[in-house]
Amino acid sequence: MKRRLREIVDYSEFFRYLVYQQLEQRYNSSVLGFIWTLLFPLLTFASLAIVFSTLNRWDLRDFGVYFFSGYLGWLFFTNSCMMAAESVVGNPVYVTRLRMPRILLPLSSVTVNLIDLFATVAVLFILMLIWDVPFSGSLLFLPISAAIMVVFVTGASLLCAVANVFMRDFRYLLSSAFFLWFFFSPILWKPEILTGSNRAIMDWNPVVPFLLLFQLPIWAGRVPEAATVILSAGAAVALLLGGAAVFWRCERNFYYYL
Amino acid sequence: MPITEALAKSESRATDIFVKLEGVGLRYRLLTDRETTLKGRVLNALSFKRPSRSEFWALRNVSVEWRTGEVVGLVGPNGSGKSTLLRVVAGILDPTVGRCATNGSIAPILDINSSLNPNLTARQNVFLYGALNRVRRAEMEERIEKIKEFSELGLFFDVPVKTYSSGMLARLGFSTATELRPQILLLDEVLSVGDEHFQRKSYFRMMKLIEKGSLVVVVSHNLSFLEGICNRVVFLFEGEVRGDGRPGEIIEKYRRAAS
Repeated sequence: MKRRLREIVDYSEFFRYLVYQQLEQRYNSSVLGFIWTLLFPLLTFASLAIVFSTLNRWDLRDFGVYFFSGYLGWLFFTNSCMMAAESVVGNPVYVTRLRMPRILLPLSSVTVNLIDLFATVAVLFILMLIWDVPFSGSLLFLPISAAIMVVFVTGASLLCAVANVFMRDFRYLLSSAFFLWFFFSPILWKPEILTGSNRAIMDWNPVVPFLLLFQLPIWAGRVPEAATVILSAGAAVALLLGGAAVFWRCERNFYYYL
Repeated sequence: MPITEALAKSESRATDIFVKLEGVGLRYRLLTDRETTLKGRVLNALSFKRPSRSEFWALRNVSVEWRTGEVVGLVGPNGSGKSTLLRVVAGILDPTVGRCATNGSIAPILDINSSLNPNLTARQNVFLYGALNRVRRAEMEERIEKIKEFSELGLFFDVPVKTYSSGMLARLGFSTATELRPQILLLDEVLSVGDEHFQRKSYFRMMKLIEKGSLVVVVSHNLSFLEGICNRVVFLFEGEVRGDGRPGEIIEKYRRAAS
């Protein structure tokens, strides 16, 4: 374990390269370049805002902050998992031609999406300025939220990367699952809107505590309860340790599947 | 250990570089019988069909020991395990049984029909190669002109590698790998592609590496070429070592077995 962590540090130059390359690839030959990162959540919001603020009869400003504060965590989580799932399968040369810590591949996907997360938060803050939404002191909790979220997302991404090597259709399954999952998460609507078994599903939705880490400080203007923080942090660490253990155990067989 | 760091050490401890395989066996499970989709796996499980287990030993009980200053040629018919052996030495594949121990920095395996990323230019590929060998970018900047010069790619150095011929790829790969002076250099069919002029140049550069205390392992089907550069040849057949010793003798043995 110690040796592996050392190896990761040893390859930091290559890691930077991986992150840089993915950023470049994405914005390569697109006119707007990095602006897309900011534009995508904005456009999604704009289209959803039109539909849902009328449907929910919900004040656009309040809905905007609620939606955005939930959506940024969701976007980070799902995009990281999707990209990580492709990270090993899409780069066979790093597995079949040389020896290097393969865990860097999914880790770089998470890093790229973390950069996106920061960009999305910046967009939200700008919107809040425009809408004249008060900035409360609870926003200072966000770095802790981000740290817990990164640990959680990294763990999940490692598992997705492994799963997609052994089952190539995992990625498609994952994107359908995320689509459904999205509607059972408190992003487009508040939990109170759902009733019966739908509500029960949302109550047991494992991603909710992680979304709340962002939603409560930004939208509700309060720091999450200690129980939420401890529970989510504990679950995140467990997932990361489990994910790393699975990845390291399985990586020796990657070669045969690529 | 980064190559540069290893290089500094190698001056004093050149004799420490070695590759040692003890009773190495490597089993491939053949791809035909494996389901690589979830759907396939579920269907298999539901139909109670047991996947037929076809296994294949690419290496059997291979024991060799190579040291500094040796240029080892690997010969054998296609599918005899030469490339697999290189991959085990490089640490890409773990032996199913046995032990593989190496000491010294190892460059990625070079083979003729691939670069690291065909969409990048030669220059970008070299930087990527450097990053993978844990060489700092500033240092690569210094070395890149030498690589360009040695490869004689000229204007093509800033063209995407996918447009290269196999000879050009070999030039690029060999120039890059040897410029970083790895202690263990693994070449898979690279050297036989370049033209005579480049082959001669490569030969001298390899000799220089060996003087500095490197160990070179070459896979090739060009037997007279191997006879010229190697001081040791290993003959592999169906994953087993059938001969290990002086080039002339072993190559003769291989020729007789092949005919």
